Amino acid sequence: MADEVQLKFSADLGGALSSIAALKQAVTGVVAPVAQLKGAFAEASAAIQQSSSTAIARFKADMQSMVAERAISLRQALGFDADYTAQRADLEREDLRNILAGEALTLDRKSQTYEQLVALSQRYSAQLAADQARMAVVAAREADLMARPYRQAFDAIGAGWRSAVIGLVEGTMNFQTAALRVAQSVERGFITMAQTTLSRAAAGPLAALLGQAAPAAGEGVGDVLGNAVSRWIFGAPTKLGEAAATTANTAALAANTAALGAVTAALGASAAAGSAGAVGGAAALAGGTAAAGAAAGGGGLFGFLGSLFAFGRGGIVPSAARGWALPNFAGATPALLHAREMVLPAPISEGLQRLIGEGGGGGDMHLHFHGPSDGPAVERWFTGLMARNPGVVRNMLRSNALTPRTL
Amino acid sequence: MRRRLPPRYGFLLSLAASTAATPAIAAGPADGPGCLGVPLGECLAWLRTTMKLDEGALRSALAQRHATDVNGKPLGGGLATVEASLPGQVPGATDTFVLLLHLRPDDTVRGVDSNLVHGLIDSRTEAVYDSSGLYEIVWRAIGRRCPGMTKLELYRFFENMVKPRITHLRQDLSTGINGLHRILSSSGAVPFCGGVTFSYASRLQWRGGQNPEAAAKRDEFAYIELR
Repeated sequence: MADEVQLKFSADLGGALSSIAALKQAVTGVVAPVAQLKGAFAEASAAIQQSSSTAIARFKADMQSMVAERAISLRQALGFDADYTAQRADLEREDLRNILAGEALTLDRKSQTYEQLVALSQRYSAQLAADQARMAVVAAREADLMARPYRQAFDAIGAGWRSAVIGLVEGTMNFQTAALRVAQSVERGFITMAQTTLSRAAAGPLAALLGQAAPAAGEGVGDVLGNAVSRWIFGAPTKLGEAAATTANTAALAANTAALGAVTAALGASAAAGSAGAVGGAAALAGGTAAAGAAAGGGGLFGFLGSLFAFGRGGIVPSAARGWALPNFAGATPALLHAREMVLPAPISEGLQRLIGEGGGGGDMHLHFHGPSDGPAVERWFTGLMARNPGVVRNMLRSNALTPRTL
Repeated sequence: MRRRLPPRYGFLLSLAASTAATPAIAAGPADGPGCLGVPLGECLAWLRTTMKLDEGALRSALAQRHATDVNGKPLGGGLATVEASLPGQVPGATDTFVLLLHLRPDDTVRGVDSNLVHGLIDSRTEAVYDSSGLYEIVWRAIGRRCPGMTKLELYRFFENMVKPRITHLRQDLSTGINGLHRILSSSGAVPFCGGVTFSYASRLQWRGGQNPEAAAKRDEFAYIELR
């Protein structure tokens, strides 16, 4: 809007007055277009902001749909979201900065632009804080998912210790039975943890093999397969054909085989190093599996796995929730298994039980454990045990047991 | 068995702990160089020790502080924006300040602008001045140029020297119940200590009737300029 009009008068006032009248008319005529122009500018500015918020909303919707389709994890989506918001804010800031860098800004223009810059900063800070809070929540949830199976395993070990100590105190168990109980609980917990770790290690390559996104934190082979099959059934963008399903099964078996191999190798190495009795008890498992491995070598990997899944060589039945070793009998019996349980072939089971029995009766069994027998205490003990036996980890790495194999 | 340490060791330990654990906290203008007339890097380092800066925004601002047009002509003078926050008056809240650092070609800071939490035209008491963030920004921007500046001195300077020079320009952009009105206020440059000039400007905009006190959507923005 024309706020000030400067006029120069000459000596000829008559002509000047008519000029002023004409100028006044012209100025009056200009007011409306100028007002319209300012309105247009204001609308354009609002439209730019609207466009920006529309773009952000569209981007967020895309991210949400990708999370819903499990193409990316929630944490990845939040990370992309934060990056995108930062980029948009940078662009908007740059425009405002360029205006403010101008030397001849009017007070009105400078105030308006400066206010927009401050508002943008406040909006962006609030958005960033909200994104960080959401990411912290997701990270905590993922950490809990990661830790839960391990915590359960250590709780199970702790429960074994507790029952052994109670049995000793109450006189319902002798030392040999109590030691057997302790060794069984430690061994079971260790196997559970190893299975969990290796299943998670195998999940990434398996997902890549199936053309899926990287698994979320805490997801194992089973989760990846479940995702793949659900995408196939519910018609997700990436169809899983029959060949892909076969590949999935094969890859899963390979991953499980790698996990099993790693467990046996680790336990075998630990036994060879002559470590503590609880881990030493697992030496039978290593020896037994060597025989099973030989059988696998003769009959093929699928034969070995098939026999394992058919319980032809043994089993913990009918429900292995509390552990149950079968007596010798003819034929077979159906089994009901739970998640993360493991079925051992008969030679391994027998060897393990024999070794534990011999160790408890004849030799010395030194189980150094101090403090309460709860999950965290046992976890600390177990960490120390692993630190004192670096050969376990080294052998797992040397034998390349942590790398999932494909057939 | 635990052995009791002689008293002198206890004293030395507590002294070491106190000197090691407590960071140097700048509490006034005499504690640092400020920003006016000092190199940009020094100014930023000083601000970092006294405020929480948004480092992400600062990085991009520094990269574009001497922006040019397609012909290579500088877009105005050099400008770097610093987004900073300070603890607010309400516990748990923070006040956001955006500092405009006007630069010379050699990256020396020639001027500092900063927004205030609220306008100062109606401010009278120390508490209200405190809540605007005026002193918090001024002592950080000026630094040792005015080492003896106190809060009350600054508020009195504003009340007695700046306020009387503030002029107002009213714009009634439209009328009616949803009319748009604006008052632009500016003091112009007022000489301050250490060879610095101080300016205050604000923009009050509202919709509704003529009286801003009865405004439906009242929006006020105020800032200071130090040169």
